Amino acid sequence: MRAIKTSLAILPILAFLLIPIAAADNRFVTTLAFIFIVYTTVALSWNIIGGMAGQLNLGHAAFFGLGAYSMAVSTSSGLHPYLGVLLGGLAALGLSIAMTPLLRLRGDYFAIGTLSLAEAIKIAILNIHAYGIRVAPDPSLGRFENYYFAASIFAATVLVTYLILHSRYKLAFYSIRENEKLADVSGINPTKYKVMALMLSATITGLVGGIYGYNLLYVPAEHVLSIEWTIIPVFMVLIGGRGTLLGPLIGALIYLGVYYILQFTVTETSLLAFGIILVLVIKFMPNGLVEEFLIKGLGVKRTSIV
Amino acid sequence: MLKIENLTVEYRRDIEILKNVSLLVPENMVTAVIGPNGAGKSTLVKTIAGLIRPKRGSITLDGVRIDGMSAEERVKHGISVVLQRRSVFPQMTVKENLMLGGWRIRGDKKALDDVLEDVLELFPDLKQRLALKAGSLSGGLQRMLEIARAMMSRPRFLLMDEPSAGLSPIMVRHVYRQIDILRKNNVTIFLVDQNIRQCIDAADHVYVLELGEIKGGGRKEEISESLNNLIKVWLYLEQS
Amino acid sequence: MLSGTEVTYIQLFLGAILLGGLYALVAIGLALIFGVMRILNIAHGDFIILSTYITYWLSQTYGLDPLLTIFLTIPIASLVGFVTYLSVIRGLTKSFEAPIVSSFGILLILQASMLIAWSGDPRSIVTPFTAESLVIGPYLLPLVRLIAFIVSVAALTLLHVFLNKTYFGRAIKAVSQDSEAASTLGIPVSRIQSITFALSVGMAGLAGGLLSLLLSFTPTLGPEYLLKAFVILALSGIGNIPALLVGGLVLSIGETYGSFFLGSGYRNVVAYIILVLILLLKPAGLFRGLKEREV
Repeated sequence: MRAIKTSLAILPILAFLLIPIAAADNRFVTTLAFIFIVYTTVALSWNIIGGMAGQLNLGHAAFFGLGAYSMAVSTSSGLHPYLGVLLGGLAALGLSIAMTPLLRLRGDYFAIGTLSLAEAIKIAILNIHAYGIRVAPDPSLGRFENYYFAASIFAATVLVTYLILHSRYKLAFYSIRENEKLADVSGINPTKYKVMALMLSATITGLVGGIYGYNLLYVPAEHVLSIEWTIIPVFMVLIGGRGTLLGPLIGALIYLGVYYILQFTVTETSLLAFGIILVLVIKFMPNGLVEEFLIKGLGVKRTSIV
Repeated sequence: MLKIENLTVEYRRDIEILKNVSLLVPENMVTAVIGPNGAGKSTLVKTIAGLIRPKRGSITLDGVRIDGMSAEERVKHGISVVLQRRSVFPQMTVKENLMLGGWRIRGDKKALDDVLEDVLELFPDLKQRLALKAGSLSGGLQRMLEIARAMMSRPRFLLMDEPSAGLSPIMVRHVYRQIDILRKNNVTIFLVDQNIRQCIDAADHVYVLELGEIKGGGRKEEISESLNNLIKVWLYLEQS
Repeated sequence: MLSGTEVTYIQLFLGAILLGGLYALVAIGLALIFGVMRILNIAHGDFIILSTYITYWLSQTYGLDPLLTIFLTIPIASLVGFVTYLSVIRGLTKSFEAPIVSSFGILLILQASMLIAWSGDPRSIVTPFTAESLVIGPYLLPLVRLIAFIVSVAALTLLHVFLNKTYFGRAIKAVSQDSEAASTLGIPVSRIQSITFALSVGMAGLAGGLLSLLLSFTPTLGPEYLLKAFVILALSGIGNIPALLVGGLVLSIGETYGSFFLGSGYRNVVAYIILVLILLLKPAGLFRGLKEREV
């Protein structure tokens, strides 16, 4: 059973690593896979703060956008693009540190607070750069290289998620999610773990935002800070099953399915579909599809919490 | 008469707070359930009141099964409950609290006025404080208000969960005096309390609940020897 | 004789006061749902904007006077709220994030529907009195704002009377102060919750309708108004309608002067700044004195 689960997790990674090679001429497939990796990684990173630690950060898009934006600003000033991406990660990390006061807020207030923060950041940046920033491409860093950069971030995130879920951090996060006061009096410092989760999820997302922006060679504030960078990862995590490794991956697959059916654009119709699916899943399968089908349906054993 | 048969109540999964509890609450009398902390007394009251759903068992009121009904519906059948915790509406006045107790008969202004008058007769301390915010009253008076409010629906059965909780000895005596008056006014009372002395003194029927199980009970005078001894031990412990 | 700058400041102040009434109306819907159900309706802003669009659509399609249309929008909005409650909110899993995620889903559904129906282009309603103002000395009181203010205050007053002087209204307050105790008195808690939800969306409907007269709107405006409502609740608490009016005034005054000094693009950032200030000064949590949800 363990072998099955591990391979279920590793196979997609292997598959993704091979795509650009297999589809060398087909730029379209590579781009699609790239976007998919980007979304999935953002989902996995949101999973850490929202799925495992239970803090519903609805302003996640701010990390993504800030990462892309910082990359764009620094690369335009002459910095090596990939260093710019790293800077993006750092910027997002900085934002998360500035956000830690919000973690004091209880669940729903935290959700509104972060949602509003992302809005405010978007407005502020729109006021400075209404039309976005163009990034000059470095000739030695093309789509191929960008793809592998993103894939390595993805792989690292999967690894990090796996490690967390097999360490004492898992128990800490889960207990904070289930009952923060209880966790607190049991000796787990909620603030410490929440801050850790937020910082980790922010850094990953910032990095991904950076590489996404570079690949696009154009960073418009409206797009990279748009709420879809929060909605789609949240959707993936909640549909699939929050707090697990498999959950976001399955949610990502489902998202790809909807995306494909609705012809590759995040149009209003797909937003509508996501909203409806989200409501239905929360109402009838509150723990996500992994829980409902794999665990209850097929009898796959849930790994214990300790 | 209130009949409780084989009541089993679970907490989360597989932890039974009440196991096969059966007892009778005859009319116009005071029935008390005593037991140590954590015995399940509060759970029993809340289940009868409709705030907790039992896993198994039945609750029958004069032949009508009420265990499927919501708490609100049970009020229509004449059940009223005074919760253990503070439950006045703190931001509303004493009068508003009482009027809300009369929700069931809110359409009939005359009936409402009559009930209010009757209830204030029983609780004269509240009469002088009608315009005060309920949250500003002392603990004892809040408890009085809770009882008075529960009486506004003219219940046939009054359930009380630890009416003496958190009160000074004087207030406890006062509360039990009220319970006695209510009993004389043909209200059937079912109460649980940790304050064993007062509880037993006031009761006609006594049941003993320990770890979710009824250990025995019946008319006060007819309680078995072993039960009596158990109670005596508890009373002794209570004194010290 | 007042100087030019002083006149400007007072002019801004007057405009802000008029807007403050509407802001309080924007907040009341959120307060009602939170008070009675302890749910923060994240889609609240979107219900408001939906009502704005409904008003727009009705008045455009049927050539009705927008002001009168608002009276149609209110029952439509209440109906939408009622249906939403029955289909989504009622019987939601008791987990603490289910209401948040559900209302987030509703947010998506509402925004997407509006985008599909009316596209993302900004819309606005023009009436014969859109550009008119009441002139008092050197000051101009824009008619649309004046109307919004009067209607908002009237509605809030009616609501205040309803909640405090009628049996049903008091029952709503009882459920918001202690729903378990209320149920033990025979008060139908579930029914009160559904009606309150409908009432809240109805209030959002009125706010949205008035908003349609005041500005140009797009389907994504919702979260902005959610933030405003939230900040007002944080300032004023939820139990008290007069306090909500004060909160609305504080916000609109802050926004007005803030955008005057910082630039109009920063208007909405003001709400966020106020929120952060409250967080820093009241770290024990917002809505002190309110019964915390049992953890």
